[in-house]
Amino acid sequence: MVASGALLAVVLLAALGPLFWTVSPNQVNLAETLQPMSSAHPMGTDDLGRDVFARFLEGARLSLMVGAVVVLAGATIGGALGVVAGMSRQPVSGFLGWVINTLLSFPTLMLAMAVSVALGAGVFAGAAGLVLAAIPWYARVLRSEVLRIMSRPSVEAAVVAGAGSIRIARRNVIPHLMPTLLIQAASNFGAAILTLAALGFVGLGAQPPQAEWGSMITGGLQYALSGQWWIGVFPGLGLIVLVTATTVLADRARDILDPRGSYVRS
Amino acid sequence: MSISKYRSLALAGCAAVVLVAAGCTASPTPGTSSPGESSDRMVIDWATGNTTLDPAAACNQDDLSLIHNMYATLTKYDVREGSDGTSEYDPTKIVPALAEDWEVSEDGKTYTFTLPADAVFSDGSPMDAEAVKYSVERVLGSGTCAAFYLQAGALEPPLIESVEAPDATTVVFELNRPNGDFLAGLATPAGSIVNPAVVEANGGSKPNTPNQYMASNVAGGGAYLLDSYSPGDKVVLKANPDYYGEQPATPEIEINYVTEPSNLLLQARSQAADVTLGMPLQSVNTIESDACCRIVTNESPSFAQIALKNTVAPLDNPKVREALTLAVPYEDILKNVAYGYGSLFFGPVVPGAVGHDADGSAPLETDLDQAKKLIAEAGVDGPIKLTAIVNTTTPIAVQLATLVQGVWKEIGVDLKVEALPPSEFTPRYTGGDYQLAVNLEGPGVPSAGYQLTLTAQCGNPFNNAEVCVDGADELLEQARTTTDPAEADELYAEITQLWRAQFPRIPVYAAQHVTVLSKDVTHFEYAKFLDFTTWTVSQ
Amino acid sequence: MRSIASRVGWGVATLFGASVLAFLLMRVLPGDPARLAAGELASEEAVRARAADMGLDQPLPLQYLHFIRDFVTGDWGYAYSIGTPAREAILGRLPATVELAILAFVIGVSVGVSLALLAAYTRRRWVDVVIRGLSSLGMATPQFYMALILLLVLSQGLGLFPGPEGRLTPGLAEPPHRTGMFTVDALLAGQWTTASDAFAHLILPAVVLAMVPAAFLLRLLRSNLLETSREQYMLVLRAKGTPRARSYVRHAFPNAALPTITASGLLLAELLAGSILAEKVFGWPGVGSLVADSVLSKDFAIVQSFVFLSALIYVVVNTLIDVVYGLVDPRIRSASR
Repeated sequence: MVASGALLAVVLLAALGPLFWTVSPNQVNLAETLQPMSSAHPMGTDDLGRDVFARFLEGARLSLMVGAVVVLAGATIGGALGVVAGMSRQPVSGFLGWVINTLLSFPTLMLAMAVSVALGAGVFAGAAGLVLAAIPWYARVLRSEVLRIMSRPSVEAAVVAGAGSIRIARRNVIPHLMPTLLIQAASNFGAAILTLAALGFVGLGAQPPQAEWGSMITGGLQYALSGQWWIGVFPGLGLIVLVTATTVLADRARDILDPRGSYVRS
Repeated sequence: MSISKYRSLALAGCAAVVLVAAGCTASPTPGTSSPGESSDRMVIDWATGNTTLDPAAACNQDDLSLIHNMYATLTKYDVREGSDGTSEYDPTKIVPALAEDWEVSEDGKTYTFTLPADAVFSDGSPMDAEAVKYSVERVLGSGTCAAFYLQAGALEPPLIESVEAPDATTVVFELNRPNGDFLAGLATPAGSIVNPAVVEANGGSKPNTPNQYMASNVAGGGAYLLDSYSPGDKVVLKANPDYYGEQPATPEIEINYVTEPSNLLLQARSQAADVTLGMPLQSVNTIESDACCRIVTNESPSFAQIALKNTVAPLDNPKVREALTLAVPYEDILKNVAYGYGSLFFGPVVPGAVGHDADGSAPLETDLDQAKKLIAEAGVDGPIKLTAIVNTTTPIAVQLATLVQGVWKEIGVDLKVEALPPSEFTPRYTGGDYQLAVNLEGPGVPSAGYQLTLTAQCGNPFNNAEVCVDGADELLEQARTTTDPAEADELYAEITQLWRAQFPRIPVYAAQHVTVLSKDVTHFEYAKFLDFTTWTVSQ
Repeated sequence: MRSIASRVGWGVATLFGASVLAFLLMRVLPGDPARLAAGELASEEAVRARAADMGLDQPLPLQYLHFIRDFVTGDWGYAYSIGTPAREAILGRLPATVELAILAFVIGVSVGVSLALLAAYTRRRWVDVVIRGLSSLGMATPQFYMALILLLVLSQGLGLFPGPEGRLTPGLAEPPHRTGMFTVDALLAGQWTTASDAFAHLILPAVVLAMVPAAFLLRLLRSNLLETSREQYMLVLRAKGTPRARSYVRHAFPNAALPTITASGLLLAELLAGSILAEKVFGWPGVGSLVADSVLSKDFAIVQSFVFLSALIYVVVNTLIDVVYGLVDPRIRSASR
């Protein structure tokens, strides 16, 4: 319950924060660089005098949005891929299985990095890379789930009765996939946010002056060692809280929806 | 055994490991010298990894500085006293290096160098006129920036017509026009003398083809030998016993490439590094008052700039350019981005380059009202929307761009900042594919003639901002071909005034070269191509 | 035996796909690699000559075939961003990463397994909650953040560990080269100070790298253990009088471990990818930091070689695991795919 509370808090902060905290995250103020926490700046200011709290909120929004986009796109495309792979016959099924396996053999970060560079840095390119890296996970998990469902007597009966694939998919398969999909999405969300931050750390993904937690941590690294720790520490805490919350919720979801838990998390 | 016994065993095991590890780290405590470290060895932390060891392929400043210490050149810069007990190079004076002496013909087109009879490469083969001829021809045929540096930027047509070695100790250069910077070009690492036998045995010298062996090996006769090389990680140099000149003061140099700024700071603080090069200025600022280190600043021919593409609307309108130039908060930037490690100027030639007219390059005052007025006068339709490209690996440029973006909003200019990874920034910048570009730059040869040719000569393919100032080209031609430095200076001063009236680009500030030295360093010398041979550190 | 052949066949097919993807990723990038390689002030002829030298003027399928042929014969291309052949660069830095990965693996496995056992075995609920919280935390903390905290607290603050100086204290000579792993080489040469120095430098980055695998293993093993402990045979064991601890360690654990071992392939992938971040923060001269820099400078010789190499390792390890799992678990052996 702590977890859902934390998640809700972050979402509310991100969504409603700017209504209350009207300081601009990109307002440069050279007279007030590297200020410690104060009532005017609850999280201090960074090296260009920008309010860290405002950037924190902006970063929260970005992480949540990118996480949501990646999960939606990944689930849709990856899910579709998995369903088709599971329901079709050879050679299509084998081919799709091969594509999924190929994508899976790449370290996630590498794939995201390579795509990011290919599409030219920036949040959009980063998100595209994350989606591509997430697709095979959904595809594989859903494919094996579909295979399980297909071997059920009710479905076999439908096939024998001559029902078309699409009908079977709609009636018998897809409705049963929701639990699996949700669990996968919940853990994918957290992983996507972390990978986006990693991209920011390496210099890809969100570009300055965009406020993004990962690049804020990088920027804050140098200052942390000279005493201005607030620049990098808060975004890091934000990441930890957000991802922990989603992971715990994912666990809870799995406990409820799939207590036997027979597959591996992404 | 019960599980609690397992558990306590495990805990004990973990504790033991941690204690052992912690105890082991106690011996080589950072900051004090451990057995093995003496004044015979110096540790340098370098923020920028190097990309090649080949003098015929190296383009960037850090590569050139490393190469300079492992190869011999015909000429070099003189040394003068610097601040606070250090010394620095004197860009206005070229003195003999390998060449003992030289003669220039009346028309300034023939240079005859005399070499010593006994200079050798590290493998014992003679470093003679044939080797010089080979090295020069190799660079000229390489088609890289080395050909550019060697000929001091005079490439249209190529400056060096021929180089001959009539005997073992004489080298004769024939130029197709006189050029006051020719000797300076020879002093750049592009003028390094390579061992022909070694190069021929490892890939040879083919036009326009890089030599892979030379990129990671050294075939030279410089002050230091390459003892070990791990690209992007570590380089160890050892003094060359057969060096033709004076033996280096510190026989062994260990260079660590440390790209993470936080690591640089940590190592400087703990004095794990004797010399730190390239530390980001905000870190320098925090370490300034620390007892561990001292900061040495030198005027260097490098500057932060906002390049404007002069041929793209609305930047083709001088009033718009003037407005943008006046709307930059120079003092604020110098204080907050450069932390004071720099100076302001407005002119085509950077301070620190020979031919820079200090009096004529006075900086401009930020004047937002005047800028707004000029924009109105310029008669440009609608709000001005511009895009600036920045290299993500140059944090200062990113900061600058962000800052300027905020200020220009006040004069009605909507600036978008496009941060690009180096692999995208470099081709776009050198190809002129931009409206504005924010970066740190500096002429490869610290001379006005070189810099003007590269950045202000109409029609020069390397002039990627397409700057063209009426009347400047003829004066430039004259200045480059005269061998009278006083006359050249006068001409450069004239060019400076013509240039200023056109506002072709915005030099934001001249960047000083900042070195962090541990308090044990007893002598340091700054040069554009860093020369380690006189650096010393106490025990 | 047919299933082994089919598994191996799958492995090879995946490898082929990975090679195509690795090749395409870099080749279809915008930007001109020849110009990048030739340098800023290069002349047009030099750029053209470079492009021809890199084989960029040939049709893509032909370039792919050359890429495969060259890779197999040991020519992995030329890394223009550091001036050495790609194979030398990668293999030269591999021992540093392998050393790190091995220690991280050991730490990760021991911590993960012991905590999982503890969490499943304990009767005190709060222990389980704390351990689950730790595992969530471990997976949620960005590695570079953890690295910063550890450096600040343990290195700068308490002075227990050396800072991010790389593999050895600057000024200390490297041990004679045998495997490239400094701890091993120093031990082989009898240089005890060097060995302990190298080990001390290895600890913090290894802990950072081990964080995610440990947390991951912890969750997996714990849930498998709990599941197994509810199985009928466990009840029978207890009824027979087997002490609780022994029933866990001797019976539950081996059964729960199998699916965990299967997941080790993923662990490897996590280690490989994670090394990129951990190495950057600690200035560890391994393959990860090399690749991170190469991606930014579009040095595709290094990137595609590394990507292909990691895919190779991943496929080989997973195929091996699949085969072993199939041989070991009688339930799988009989079932068809």
